[in-house]
Amino acid sequence: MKILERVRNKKQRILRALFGTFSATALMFTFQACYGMPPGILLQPRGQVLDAETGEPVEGLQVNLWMHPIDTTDHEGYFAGEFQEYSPVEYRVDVIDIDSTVNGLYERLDTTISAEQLQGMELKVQRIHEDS
Amino acid sequence: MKTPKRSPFKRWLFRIFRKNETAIRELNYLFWECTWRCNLSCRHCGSDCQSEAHVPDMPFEDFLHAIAPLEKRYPRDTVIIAITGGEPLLRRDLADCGKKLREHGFRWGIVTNGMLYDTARHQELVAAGLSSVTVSLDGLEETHNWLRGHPESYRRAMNALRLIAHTRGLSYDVVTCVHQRNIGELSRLKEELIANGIRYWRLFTIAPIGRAASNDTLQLSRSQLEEMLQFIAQTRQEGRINITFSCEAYTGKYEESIRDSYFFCRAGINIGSVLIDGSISACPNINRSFVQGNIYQDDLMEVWDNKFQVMRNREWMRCGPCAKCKDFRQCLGGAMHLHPTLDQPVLRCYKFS
Repeated sequence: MKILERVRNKKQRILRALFGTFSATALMFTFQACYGMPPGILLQPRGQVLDAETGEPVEGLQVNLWMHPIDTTDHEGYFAGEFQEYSPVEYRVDVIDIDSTVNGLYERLDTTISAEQLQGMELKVQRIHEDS
Repeated sequence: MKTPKRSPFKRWLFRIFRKNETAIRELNYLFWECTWRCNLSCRHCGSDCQSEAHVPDMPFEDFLHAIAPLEKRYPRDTVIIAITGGEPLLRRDLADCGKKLREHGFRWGIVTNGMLYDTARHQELVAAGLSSVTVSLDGLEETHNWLRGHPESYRRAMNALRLIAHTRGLSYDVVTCVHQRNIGELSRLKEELIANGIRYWRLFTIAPIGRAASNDTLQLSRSQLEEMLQFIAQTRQEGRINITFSCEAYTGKYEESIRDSYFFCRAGINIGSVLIDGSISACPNINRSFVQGNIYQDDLMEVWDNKFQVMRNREWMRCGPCAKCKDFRQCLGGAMHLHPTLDQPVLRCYKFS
């Protein structure tokens, strides 16, 4: 009986991990009792996006945390924003070129960072050269 | 306005997710109804609390003793204690309680009317590890003060919000109970919040429970309810403030546009409570006939593990208007607090087809 229960528990945990990974959002786990306060921790992710080849800052890229837009990089490549998080372990970050060839064309970056890196991210994006 | 198309696949996935979460049933959001005293007498209060409660405040040591098993079972920082009341700021030992909760690995927050939330109290609570606050603001100044029955209540709540919203790392939101008097001023209230740097806003309706049960003017009509949902959907599209509809009911075609996730009443699944008299339940606004035990007689985790079946299997809610509803498997009968007792149907349906 105990073995069966353990197997069932394991299966439930795996399913939960799958949801956490592939739901494209951590928000499924971010709940709030209807009359309670938000359970999350307010995170303030910030950092800079640099061209992977030249090391120059890149303007006009959208930075997302768990698919939620945090900010668009300024002319020095900096971004900063807020995000309410429930389970502070690691975070999926992606950077998307939203201004096409203005400020250069860049490949989408999709990466995972730890909680410690959240307030000092240095993200390097790969430029797409027009002749390639 | 157009609502996003329903996604049957996403809804199906969500139901699997909900079933799995129900099976895991981790208790990671625990209310503590620490007092029944309150410094306001709101027309819509769901708890029937009073200025001089006939039930004394619960000694913090009793609560701490009751939650000791949670500390052993769950990793540090994964359980949040929602301190509520009455008005929790009336407890002079609130910061001491919070500090001890942090020492024991719990995160904590409060739900407050903001009347006593000044700079000194804010600093004291933040220093004690406060991580989350909800402040009630039920309309523009005149309307809020009318509902709260105090001429200073709006100004003080706004002061509290400004302090909270400008504190780094503090999670917060403003909650607004939408009713017949304030539904017409939601747009102006939105501008007021944005102008004050407030970024998280949650709307809910007033359930016909507690003091509000005897006040018909507080309940929205069906068309007003839809107007409110459309306002939320439109404001979310604007992206100027993070607005959500409280997780109080399934809304049918609006589900994809008014929250970050689908309706999921987690009462008894992830949410528990220790009420003022030691009763163990889920959310404090749930009818007290659903109490599952008492910390003065029972072990909290034993009750959590072995009871609460009525909240984890909600087939019994399939009655009244829910009996033949084709959305029941998505809705599961709405929120627990909308059910007065086991043998009565849901008080109100929020579904729009």
